[in-house]
Amino acid sequence: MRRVAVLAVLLGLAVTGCAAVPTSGPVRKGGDVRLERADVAVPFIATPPQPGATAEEVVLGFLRASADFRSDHRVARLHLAPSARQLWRTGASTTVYDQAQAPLAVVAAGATVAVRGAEVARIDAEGSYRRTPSEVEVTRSFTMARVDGEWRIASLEDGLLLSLVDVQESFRQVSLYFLSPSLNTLVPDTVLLPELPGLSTRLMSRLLRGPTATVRGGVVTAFPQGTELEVQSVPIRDGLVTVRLDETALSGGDDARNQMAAQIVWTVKQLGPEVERVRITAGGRDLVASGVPAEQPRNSWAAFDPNGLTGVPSVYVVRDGRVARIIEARFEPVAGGAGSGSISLRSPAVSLDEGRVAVVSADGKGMYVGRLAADVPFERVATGGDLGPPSWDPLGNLWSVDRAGGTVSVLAAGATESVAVEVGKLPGGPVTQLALSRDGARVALVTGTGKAARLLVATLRGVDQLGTEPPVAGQVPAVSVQAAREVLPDLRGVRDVAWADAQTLAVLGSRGGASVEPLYTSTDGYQVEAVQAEADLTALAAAPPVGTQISPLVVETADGQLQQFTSGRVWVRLGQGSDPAYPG
Amino acid sequence: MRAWHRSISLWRRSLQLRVVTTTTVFSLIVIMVLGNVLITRVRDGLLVDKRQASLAEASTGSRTSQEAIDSADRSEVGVYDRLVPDLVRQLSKGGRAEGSKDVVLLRGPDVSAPEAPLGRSSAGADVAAVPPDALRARVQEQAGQHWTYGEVVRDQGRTVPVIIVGSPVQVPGFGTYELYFVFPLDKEQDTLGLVRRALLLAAFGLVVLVAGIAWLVTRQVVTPVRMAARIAERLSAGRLEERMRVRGEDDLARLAASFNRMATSLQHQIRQLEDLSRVQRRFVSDVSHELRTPLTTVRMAADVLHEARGGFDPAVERSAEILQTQLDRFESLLADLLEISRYDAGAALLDAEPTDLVGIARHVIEALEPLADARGSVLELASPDGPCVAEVDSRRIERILRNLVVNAIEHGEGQPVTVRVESDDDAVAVAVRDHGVGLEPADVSMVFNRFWRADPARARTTGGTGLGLSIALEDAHLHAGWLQVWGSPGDGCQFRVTLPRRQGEELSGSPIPLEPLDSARRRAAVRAGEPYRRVGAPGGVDA
Repeated sequence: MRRVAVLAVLLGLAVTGCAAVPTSGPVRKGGDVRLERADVAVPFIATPPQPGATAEEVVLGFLRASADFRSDHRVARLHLAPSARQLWRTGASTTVYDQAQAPLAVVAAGATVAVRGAEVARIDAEGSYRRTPSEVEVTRSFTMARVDGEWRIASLEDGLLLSLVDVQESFRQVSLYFLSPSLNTLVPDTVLLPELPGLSTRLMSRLLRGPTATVRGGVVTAFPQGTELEVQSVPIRDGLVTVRLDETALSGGDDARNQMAAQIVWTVKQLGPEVERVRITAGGRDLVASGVPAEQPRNSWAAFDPNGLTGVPSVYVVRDGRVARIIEARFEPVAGGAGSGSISLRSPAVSLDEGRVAVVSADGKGMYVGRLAADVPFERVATGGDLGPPSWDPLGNLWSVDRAGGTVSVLAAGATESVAVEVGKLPGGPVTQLALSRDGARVALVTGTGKAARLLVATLRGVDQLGTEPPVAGQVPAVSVQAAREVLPDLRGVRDVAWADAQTLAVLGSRGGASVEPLYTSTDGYQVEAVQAEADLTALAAAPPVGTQISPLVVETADGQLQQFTSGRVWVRLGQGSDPAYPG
Repeated sequence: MRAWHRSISLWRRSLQLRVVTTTTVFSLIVIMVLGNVLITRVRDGLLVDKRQASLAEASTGSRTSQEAIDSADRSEVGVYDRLVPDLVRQLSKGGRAEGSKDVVLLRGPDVSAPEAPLGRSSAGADVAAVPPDALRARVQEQAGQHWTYGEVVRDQGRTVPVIIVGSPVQVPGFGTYELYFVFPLDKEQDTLGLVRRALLLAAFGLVVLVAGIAWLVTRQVVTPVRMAARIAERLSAGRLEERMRVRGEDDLARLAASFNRMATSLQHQIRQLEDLSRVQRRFVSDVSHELRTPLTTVRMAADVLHEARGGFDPAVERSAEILQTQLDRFESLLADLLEISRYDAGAALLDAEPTDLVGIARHVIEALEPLADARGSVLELASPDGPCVAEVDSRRIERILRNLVVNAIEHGEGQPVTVRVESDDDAVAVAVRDHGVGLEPADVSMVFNRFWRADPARARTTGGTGLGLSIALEDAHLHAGWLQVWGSPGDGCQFRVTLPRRQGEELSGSPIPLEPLDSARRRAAVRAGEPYRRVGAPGGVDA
C-alpha cells in the first residue's frame, strides 16, 4: 500500500511537472523577415563646408546646402557657427531668387558677406507659394566669424534663401484636399513640400493640420479637431499606403469617415502611380464607413472629384446669336430658348450637370436662365449695366458680375433674387470677370480693364449659407470673397480666364509686356506654361480631362473664329462663333 | 507495526481488497501516463500555435517598423524620438494574436551617436533587461528573426512565461537597432492549467469509478464465494442440511446450485455410509453376540475334552489343547470385537475418578510378569516417588497399559521393557518403551489400525487379537487424551499415553517426550555435542 502511494505521488508529480510552459530554452531561428527597404531617394545631398574655404565660399555653400532639407538642414547648419546653429529658424519663410533673371551677387566686406538676387517668390511657413511682384531685389547679409580657424556664419536672418532651380529640385508641389462647405466636393490646397523620403508622412500630417491661409475659411476638413497620426509615419508598401490615425478620428459618423477617406485618398495618391490602395486605421481599427473596402483603391471617391464633371463636357459657343454645342466639329443649336435665337445672346454658361444655361443679352443688360430642353422659355433673372459672363458652381448657384459697377452677385439655386457678394478692395480695381472653380469654393477674378486687367484667385466664404434661410429674418447671407491674391504679378491685359482643372487656370493675357497668349498656370503661379497662339485671341474655354479624354482648349480669335488646341499640340479651326464655354 | 500487520493480514485474507487495490493502482498508472502524454501534446499544440502566430506577428511587426522608420518625415530633426515611442506603443497594441504583448526596441552595439533615439519598451520596464543576452547576441550577429522562451516579471511580481522574438531594424542615419516582441504565454499557461485540472478531476473520477466498479464486481463474486466457504465450513462441521441461497440464473447462481447439489449428494452419500456402517457395526455386534452362545456350548464341550485329554492318544490330546487355546483366542477376539463395536456405537461411557496411575502400572506389570518371563523380557517400572493422580477410568487405563505392555513384550524380542510414569500440573503420562525391531516411519500412523500387522507374513500365533491398540486409542480418546507412538527400525518403539489430570480439560503437552531419551539418535546427538533437536509428532508437542 505504501509503495502504491509513493508511486501515485511520483506519477502525479510527473503529470504536473513535465507539461509546464517552458520559461527558458535555446535561441532558435525564426522565419525570414524580408525587409524590402524602399530605395531612399534624396534629391539633393549637400556637402559640409570645405576646410580653408573663404567666407564667400562658406556663404555660397550654405545657400546651396539650404536646399538639403534632411534633419532640419543639418548640413546647412554645419556652415554656421555653433552659437548660430540652434538659433537659425528655417521654417519662417523661404525666399526664392532666380539666377536666370539676375545672378546672385556676393559682396564680402570685412566680417560681413552680403548677397543680392532677384526675388521671384516666397514660400510661406505653410508651404504656400506666392509670386512676388517683378523687379524686387532680395538681399541678405551674413556676419562671419572664425571658428577653429574656419569661416562660419555667426549671424543671419531666419528663413531660407533658395534659388528657383533649387526650389524646383528639392520641392514637390502637392495638393492637400479639403472639402467644400457643402461637403460633397474636394478642394485642393496647393503647397510645396520638401521632396524627401517620408513625404507621405509629411503630406498626411499637413493634411491633418488643416488648410493653409490660401483657402482657409472657404473649405472645411472632415477630420475631428485634434486628429493626429498615431505613428508619425505613413509607409507605402506594395502599392498600399497605410495611414494610421489616432482614436480621435473615430468620433465622426459614416459621412465623416467617407469624407476623411476621400480627403486622404485624393491627397496620398499624388505621391505617385505606385500608390494603388490606401488603408486608413484609427486607433488600430479600420476607419471605413459601411460598404467601403478596408483597402481603398486609388480611384475611390470619384464623386468628390474637385473637377466636378461627370461626363465628357461639350463646348458651347454663340453663333448667330444662338447658343450652340459643338459635336464632332458640327454646330448644333441647343434645345430650348437659348438655341432659338429669339433674343440676341452672348456669354453662355452651362451648369455642371449640363441641364441649365445662363446667358447674357447681347446688350449686357439682362441675364436669362433656361433649361437645355425644348419648349422651356427663358426667364430673365437679373438685370444690370454691363453684365459679364456668368458662372455656375456645383450647387447650381449662378454667379455673375456687373462690369458697369464692378459688383459681383450670386443667384442661389432656387432663389429669385440675387445676393450681392462682398468683394472688398482688390488689386487692379473692380471685378470685370469671374469664373467659379468647379469645386465651387474658389473663384478666378479679373480686375481692371484693358491692358491693366489682372488675374486674381480668391476663396469664397459663406457659400454654404446660400439657399438657406438667413439666421435672422431679412438679413442677407454674407457671401464674401477672401484671400484674393494675384496669381502672376507680371500678368496684365487679361482678357479671359477659365478653370482648366482644380489646380490650373487657363488665362488669356500677356506676361511682362509680351503679346497676349493663352497660359496655363497653377493657382499659386508656381507652374506656368504658355501655349503658342497663332492669332490674336479674345476668349477661351477650358475644362479638365475626364478619364483619358482630354478636353481641348477652345479659343475665340479676334476675327470671330473658333479654334481648338488639340492633344497633338496644334490649333484646329472649328468655324465661326464666339464666347466658347465648357460647363461651369 | 500492529496496524501494518493487521493491514498485511487483511491484504492476504481479502480477495476483494486485493482486486480493488490492484485495479485502482493499475488504472491510476495508466491514467497518469495517458494524462501526461495528453497534457504534453496539448502543451506542444498550444505552444506551436502560439509560436507560429507570434513569429508571424513579429515578422509583420518588424516589417511595419522598418517601413514606418523608412517613411518617417526625414526633414525634421528628432523625428525618431517621437516616432519610436509611438511605434513601440502602436506595435504593442496592434496585431491579431490574442492578448497583449510588449515591444522593446534597443540600440544596437554600433549605435553611438548621442542624438540617436534611445531604447524603448512598451512595458515601461527596464528595457535592456527583457531580452536574454544569448538572444541579443544572436540578433546582433545574424540577420533575420530569432526567438527563445523566457520569463518576465509582471505587475505584482508575478512571473509570466514568454516567447521573445527579435530581429534587427535599420534606423537611417543611426545604425542598427534591435526590435524584440515579447509575447506572454500566460493564456497558454492558464489553458494548460485548466486542462490539467480537468484531467486530474477526470482521472480522479475515473479512478473512483474503476475502484467502485471493481469493488462492486468483486463483491458480487466474493459474496457467494464467502457464503460458499461459510456453508462448506458448516458442512464440514457436520451440519449437512446447510445450503447456499440461490438467487437469479447467473454463473454464481449456477455455482450455488451446483454447490447445493454437491452438498445434497454428499449428505446423501454420508447418510448412506453412516447407515451402511451402522448396519455393519450392528452386524458385527450381532454376530459377536450370536457367536457367544454357540461358543459357550463349544467351550463347555472343549473344556470337557480338555479335562479328559489325559486318556487320549497323543495326537488327539494335542488337538484338544489346540482347540482349548484357539477357543481362548476366539473368546478374547469376540470380547474385543464387542468392546470395539460398543465404541463404534458410541455406547462407551467414562467412569472417571481420581486414580493413581503408578499403582495401575505396577499392577499391570505384576500381572504380566509371567508372560514377560515366558518371553525372556524384564519389565521395569520407572516412576516418581509419589503417586500420579488423574481423573481416569481405571479399568480402561489398565486395559490400555496392558495392551501396550503386552504389545511391547510381544515385539520386545526378549529385551527389557520399561514402563515410565510422569506427571506435571496438567497431565499425567505413561510411556512403554521396548527395544525390539522398531517401526518404519511409514508404519507409525498405521499402528493403531484394526488388525494391522507390521509384517503381514508374521503369523498371528501369539499375542492379541489385532484390536488391542485400536481399543487403547479409543480409550485414550475417551479420556480426551493422546496415544502416540515413536518408533525407529532396530531401535524399538515407545508408546506414550497422555491424560489430562482433570476431566474436561484440554491437553497442551506431555510430561514425557515422545522420543525416548535413550534412542540411538539422541545418544548419537549428545555424543556429537549437537544441540538438542526437536522431533515433530502428530498432534503433540514435546515437553
